[in-house]
Amino acid sequence: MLSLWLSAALLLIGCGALLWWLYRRERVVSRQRNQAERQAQELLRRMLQPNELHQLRTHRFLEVGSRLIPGRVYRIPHRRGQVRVYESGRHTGNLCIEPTRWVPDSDVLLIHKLLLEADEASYLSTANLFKASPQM
Amino acid sequence: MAALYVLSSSGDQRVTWQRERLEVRDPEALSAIAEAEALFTRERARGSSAFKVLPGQPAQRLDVFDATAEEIVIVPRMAGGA
Repeated sequence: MLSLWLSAALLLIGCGALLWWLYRRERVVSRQRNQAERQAQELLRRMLQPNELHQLRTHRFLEVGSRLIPGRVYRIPHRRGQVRVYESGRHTGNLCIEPTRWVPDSDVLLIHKLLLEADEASYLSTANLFKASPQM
Repeated sequence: MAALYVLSSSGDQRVTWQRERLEVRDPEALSAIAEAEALFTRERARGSSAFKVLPGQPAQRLDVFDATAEEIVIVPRMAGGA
């Protein structure tokens, strides 16, 4: 009977230690990611023009005009997510493309902007396009 | 001050140097540019893309390290998502 109680107590202690370790680890990862996001925001502020920063703060997205298709505009969200495509002001679809390694949200936005400006054809060939459903 | 930024999970890794010091072969600037070029080569080999950023102008893709660039940003390889 005593050994049964002892086993149960050891099991409880083990579970408690595991939960504590997971909690501590999550806190460390969370702190590191917050710090990375702050650094990424600082870099984004350096890389954007004042009018782009204003648009991002006001509308929570950044627009980049297409260099390949006249009248097309890409709307990059301020947090990771799909890039909305507009043709002559009409929403025609969403593009889904993401980094193969985790980077902060502000870096994701910067990556979309750089790729769309400098390598749009490659961006479009990599991204998955989801066409917007036609409006009734 | 010129800089190379490698975007990563920790924010970014950056190397900075003074371009005018390169012209007078300053050892510190030469060391920094060598470090930047090595990072550029390593990241490109991993499938990352590099861009030259100029204020007020669209970014330009870089396939070869450009020591005259003011700012270079290296971004991870991208993949289509769902």
